[in-house]
Amino acid sequence: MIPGGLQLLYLPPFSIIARFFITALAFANLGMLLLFYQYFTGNFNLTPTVHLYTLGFMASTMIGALFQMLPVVAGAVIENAHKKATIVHIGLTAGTIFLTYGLYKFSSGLAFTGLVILLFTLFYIVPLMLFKLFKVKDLKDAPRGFIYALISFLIGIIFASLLVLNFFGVLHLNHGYLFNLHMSFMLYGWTAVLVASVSFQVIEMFFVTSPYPKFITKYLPAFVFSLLILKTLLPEIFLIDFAIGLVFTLYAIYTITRLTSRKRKIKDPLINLWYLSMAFLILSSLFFPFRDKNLLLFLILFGIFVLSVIMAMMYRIIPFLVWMHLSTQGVQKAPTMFEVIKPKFIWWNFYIYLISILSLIFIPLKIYFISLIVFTLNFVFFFVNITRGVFVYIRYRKK
Amino acid sequence: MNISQYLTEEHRKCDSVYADVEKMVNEGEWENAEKLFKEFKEKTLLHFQKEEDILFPEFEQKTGIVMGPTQVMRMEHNQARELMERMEEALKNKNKEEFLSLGESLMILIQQHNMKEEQILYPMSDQHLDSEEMVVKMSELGEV
Repeated sequence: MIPGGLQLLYLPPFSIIARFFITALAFANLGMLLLFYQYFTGNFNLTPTVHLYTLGFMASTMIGALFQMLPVVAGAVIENAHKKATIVHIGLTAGTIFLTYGLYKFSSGLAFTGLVILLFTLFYIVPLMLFKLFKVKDLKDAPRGFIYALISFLIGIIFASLLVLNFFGVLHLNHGYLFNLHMSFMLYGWTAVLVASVSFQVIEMFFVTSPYPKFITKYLPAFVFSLLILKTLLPEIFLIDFAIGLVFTLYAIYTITRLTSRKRKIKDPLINLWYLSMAFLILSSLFFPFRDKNLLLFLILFGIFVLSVIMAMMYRIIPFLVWMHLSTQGVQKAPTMFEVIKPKFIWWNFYIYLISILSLIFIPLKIYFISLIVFTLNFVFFFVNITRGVFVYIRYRKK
Repeated sequence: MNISQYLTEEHRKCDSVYADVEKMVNEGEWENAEKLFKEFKEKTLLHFQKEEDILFPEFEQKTGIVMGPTQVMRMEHNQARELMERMEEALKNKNKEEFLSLGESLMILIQQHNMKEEQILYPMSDQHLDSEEMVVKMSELGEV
């Protein structure tokens, strides 16, 4: 019997993370198709478009990554992970499609179906992950951050359900209050805290940097969660949003200083992506208290922060896991990381991405087409690179 | 000094040497890179030896956990050994891309390996074994 926290033998099947990541990228491309369609029909609907990205792209990536990280980083093993991941993958994918299509078509039947599927799926896997994490003795700071992120996710889902019921006239609650809390818990409580907690572990590991200060790794997740609870109880207090913004600005500055003083000095597009993501985290966090003035701008700034991190993580994780799994399975001269996804393709994707971000300066002039084209190119390129990496694994396994 | 401090310090020393090797390869200083890589490899292998010959057997004996984490650690050591052999070959052939590619895999393998050791295995070893005695025994094999 191996005690909890020591189950290092467990390396989750590669198919789990591969299917979540590929689905996430498929959703990102679907989101671009929807944006094109809306551009040509002149009928823009923000809510379903945003949720294709927050649920389809971001949540798929994050849940997939948690299946991988829970056993490896926290020693919290999910038994029969393959079967459970299949259920969650199907539920999350189907629920997202139904919900976003229902919101787009203003169809309460489709939206409620999507909501119910998502509720069953997420209230199955998130509490299970929390239970596994709670069972680990002497939990380190990074996985403790996962706990706060997952609880915020559950709270965010509850607010989302109330919003959908409100939207279709079933309930008549204060929309502004629910919307603000849903957004704050989902974007900062769930997404930003999870990104920060993961970075506590991987920044040091990938780039050989000094560790984050203990006060950040130990207290940031709990502090942000406390602020969000306070915001729920005292929604009128404007300073809470400032405090949340400042906490993440401080975190981003610490991350940047870690990266600039890293020991590994070779050029790496993934470091640039981390810099970019932290710069946009600072911008979005400082703008967070004023988001009512321009919600779309806030969402774009926050979206670039998350997209940059996801690109940096996927481009590192997929090549490493392909090599690791093949090597563990005894494949002689398993393809190295650069052979799985060539660095030049990652650089090209990085440059396309930079151009995409720069193209956003045309948005205030109401010129959308350029951004649509380059962001689509970015997501197609990203999808192709990651999928090709996964196919390298499949090809070697068949051999 | 306990086991955690002693072996974690060795991890950091190896990381630091590798970062310099990588920089030299990147700048095309092949001769210096080859010399420094030899030092990195020797240090890393000595560190593995301390764990495999002294720490792991003692840990297995005291805890009764034989087919568990120590086996995974040994397997990852072997994966690292294989990568270092291939990197040595790439250095001889002055193949920068091959070296950096193998190095990327090695670094992440080693970093995630170190993370598991530092966060889980070493603290448990300190808890179950006579730390001072273990450090003395490991030091007798040489300094990284």
